[in-house]
Amino acid sequence: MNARSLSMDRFRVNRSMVLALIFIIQIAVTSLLVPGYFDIRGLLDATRSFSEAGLIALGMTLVIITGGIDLSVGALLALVSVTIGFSYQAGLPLWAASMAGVGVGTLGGLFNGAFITYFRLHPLVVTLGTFALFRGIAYAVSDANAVSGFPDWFSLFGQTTLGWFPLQFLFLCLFVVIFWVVLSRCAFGRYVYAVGHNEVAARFAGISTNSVLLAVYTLNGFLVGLAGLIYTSRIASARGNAGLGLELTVIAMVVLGGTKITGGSGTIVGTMMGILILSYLQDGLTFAGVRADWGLIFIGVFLILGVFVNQVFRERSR
Amino acid sequence: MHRSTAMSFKTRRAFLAAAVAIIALAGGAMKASAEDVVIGLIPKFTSDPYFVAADKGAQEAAKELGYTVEFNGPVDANVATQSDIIDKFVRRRVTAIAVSANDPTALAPALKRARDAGIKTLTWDADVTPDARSVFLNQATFEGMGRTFVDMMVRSAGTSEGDFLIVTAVLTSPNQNRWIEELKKYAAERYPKMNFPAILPGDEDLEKSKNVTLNYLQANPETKGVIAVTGIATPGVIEAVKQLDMVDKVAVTGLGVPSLIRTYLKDGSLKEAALWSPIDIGYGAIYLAKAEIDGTLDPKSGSVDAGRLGKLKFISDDTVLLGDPFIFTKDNVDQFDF
Repeated sequence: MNARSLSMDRFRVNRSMVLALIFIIQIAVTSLLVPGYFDIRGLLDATRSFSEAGLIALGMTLVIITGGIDLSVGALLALVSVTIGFSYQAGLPLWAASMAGVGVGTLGGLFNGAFITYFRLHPLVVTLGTFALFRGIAYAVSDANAVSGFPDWFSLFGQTTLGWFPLQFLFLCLFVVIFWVVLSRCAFGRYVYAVGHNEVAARFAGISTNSVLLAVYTLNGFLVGLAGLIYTSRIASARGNAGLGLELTVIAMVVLGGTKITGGSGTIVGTMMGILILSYLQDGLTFAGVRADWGLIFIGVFLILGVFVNQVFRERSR
Repeated sequence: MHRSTAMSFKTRRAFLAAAVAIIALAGGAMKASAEDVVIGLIPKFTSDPYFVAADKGAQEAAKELGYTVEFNGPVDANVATQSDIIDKFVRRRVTAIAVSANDPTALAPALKRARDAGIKTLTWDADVTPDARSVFLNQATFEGMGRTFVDMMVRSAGTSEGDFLIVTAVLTSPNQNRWIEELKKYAAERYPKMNFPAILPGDEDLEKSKNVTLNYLQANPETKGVIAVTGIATPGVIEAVKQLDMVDKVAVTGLGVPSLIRTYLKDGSLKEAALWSPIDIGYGAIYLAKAEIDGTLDPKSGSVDAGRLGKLKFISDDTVLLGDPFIFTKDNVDQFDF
């Protein structure tokens, strides 16, 4: 048992190292092919465009490790953004509106978690439902309008830089560390893996699996809340079509990072690499002037390759 | 001793050569030639023939000026992606960014970052808040559209006397209402015997536009013409007139989207319909960028040079008008595939 988990550990490190290597090669190749691409400041600037998705990918990693999925994150982000914008417009102070937004995100996650645990419904079905529900509420509340004209201080979350670092990227880094500690150094992290490996066995081992699942989905909702706040600040407006298709980007990051879609394994370091690889692939393509529609094709091919490579790794480890 | 002097002489020569090269490079960088000008052209989304046509016009202008125009935008009308693309153009240090905005305020932060980096910013087709761009290329004024609708109707009907029906989108559509207001105002001044007894909504639906026209024309067969002020209504109205066999009695004109009206222009049931040319917007946007890059953009002069479009007029301090609406006829409609 001990020897096996040791070799699993070593293997995990190896895979993340392979991903890191791919990332370095990717940046090197793009820099060679595209003049002007290699510029530390510019590359740091690019983090602005993916920090929100990255934050949610951390929560999604936990969700997927438990064997679940959350399709509602993009819709929930829109609902968070609309909550912030429209409660501010209705007269709430902006700090309170922001907190209401994060609160709505957290509640949205809790809502998903409650349905999944207490009604024993499959996460795919529940979050497919809330995918439509959250987006629907966001559209209905905003009535296809947008709120803008936030005071200057609100640009803090999404438009500020500390030196060369966009603030939201530092935020993402902080959460990467927290999630890494939680997942690999805390009891809660072990429960998350246990639930994903075998929920029944975990329950018999005395783990309150419902609490773990509830916590994981709520945490994911909380991260969507934070991401929604950053997003609203970054583009200085709130509207119902925010975060369209975001769930796909986020799930792609997690899966590319080596988290098994059927649950039980995955790491935060891997997800971080998934975030970086996918985001900088997109960044490099746009920077090189590749049209967004062609970029999608590239990313699709890359993802399928990534998942395939991960699968090969997994089989060899058996 | 002797050897080291030779070395230092050699080194000095190398330094000199390097210095010359650096100065040449710096000089080149300071006075950017036309080949170095890169303009980022950002549509609301790339997957629309309307914007593909705008790109076509922009490439035409780029060719004339020796510029490079890079066309990139979201696949859907995603405003965050538009903002990201602006940021990437900033990192590329393009010369200018011209954007058709999905949201007037959401792009302002990114465009301001571009301005801070010394990049010229302008908008076309859909504007942003004025402090985020220097100038907006407006495709058509309400007044211009209203006037064109009336003039086309008088030409098509061959008369300016009698009753004319207006078919609109819904009764609360802001653009349509402004056009109707302007066309009535212009008609009242110019053709006092032109009456508009009814304005009927077609609900942006071809069938519904057809039905309201059918009912109205059956009850009012003396009607001289129908003006359809929204793109989807025009073919509906023509179908109604055709069904009643009144093509020679009731003239139709209005807002025309080429793909929807092509067949009617060809079979003669529609003579003219107006919109603006997306090709010309793209073309004009690049010439506006050129004026900004050259530093010749001056509202006080009243106009901007825009190649084959001639001089485009300033209609306010920071808005340039593309010109009169573009009139599609059977002869020119095939140039447009949107």
